[in-house]
Amino acid sequence: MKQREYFEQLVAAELDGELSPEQRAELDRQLTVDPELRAFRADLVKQQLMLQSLPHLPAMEQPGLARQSLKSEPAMVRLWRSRVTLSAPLASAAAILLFVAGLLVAGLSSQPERSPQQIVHKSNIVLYESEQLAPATSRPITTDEFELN
Amino acid sequence: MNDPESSDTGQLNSSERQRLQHLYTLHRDHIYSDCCYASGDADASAEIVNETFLRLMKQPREPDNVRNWLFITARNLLFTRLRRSKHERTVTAREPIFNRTELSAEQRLFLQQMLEILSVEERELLLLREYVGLSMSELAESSGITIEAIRVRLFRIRKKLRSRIEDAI
Repeated sequence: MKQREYFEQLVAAELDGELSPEQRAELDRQLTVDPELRAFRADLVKQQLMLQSLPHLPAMEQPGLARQSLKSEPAMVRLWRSRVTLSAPLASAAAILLFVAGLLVAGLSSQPERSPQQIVHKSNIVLYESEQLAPATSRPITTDEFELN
Repeated sequence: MNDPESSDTGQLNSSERQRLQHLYTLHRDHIYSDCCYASGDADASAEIVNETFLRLMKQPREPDNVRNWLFITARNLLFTRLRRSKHERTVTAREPIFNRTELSAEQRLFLQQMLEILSVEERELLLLREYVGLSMSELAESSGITIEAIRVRLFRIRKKLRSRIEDAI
């Protein structure tokens, strides 16, 4: 009697469609007299069917892809544009932002410093007292001007 | 995929775009699902699909068997990613696949067991054979080993999965 593993390998070869006619006959003979081999074969067939029947999950539902979605173009072209075509405009936008930020910093640093008397302490929050004490123009105090003490 | 004229500017011509879009639509979900089932990580799989097609765009010409090329490239990207993050067996799934409504309860259980029992290399080999349908010779060629070695590996993987599931029951 041949070893069990030999017949198990025949079962695997059967699943892969690689059995010769002789091996096919040999396996069939063994299956009729070997319930364990039949159970082994049934489990492997079930395993194979399970793997083959797994559904194709729709990829576009995933946030990783959704982030790159632009509604006007097909998905793959969008993907390509996001990496290649949009790189130049993005670089330009970044340069403009840096320029504007630089202007703001320069403008702020040129303003006169406020003296402590110009600041009213209110619990843990310090705010600039009034329009007339504020250095630049007269305008309402906004939350942006609150500073943590 | 780039022709000589368009490659200088990194742009695709319209027929290349159409072809790429066609391939993307045709294979995207299958590649994504293969990666999901192998890794258990839906977000990582989506990123791998993107990267796979970006690599295809950078090819000087379309690979001979583009379907196989896509799946093998995705597999390699998955392995690289997992090696980098050192999460080979226990992938930290940012979005686990097991709550997907497309899967039956039996399929979810099977996939969970597969993730627990098999390494990612074993899962991916089994999936490429059974779920993707690559032949023994294609698997051997892409892995750089002989067909006989692939046959032995698959046999051991199937037995391992079967025996552990049997033990669990």
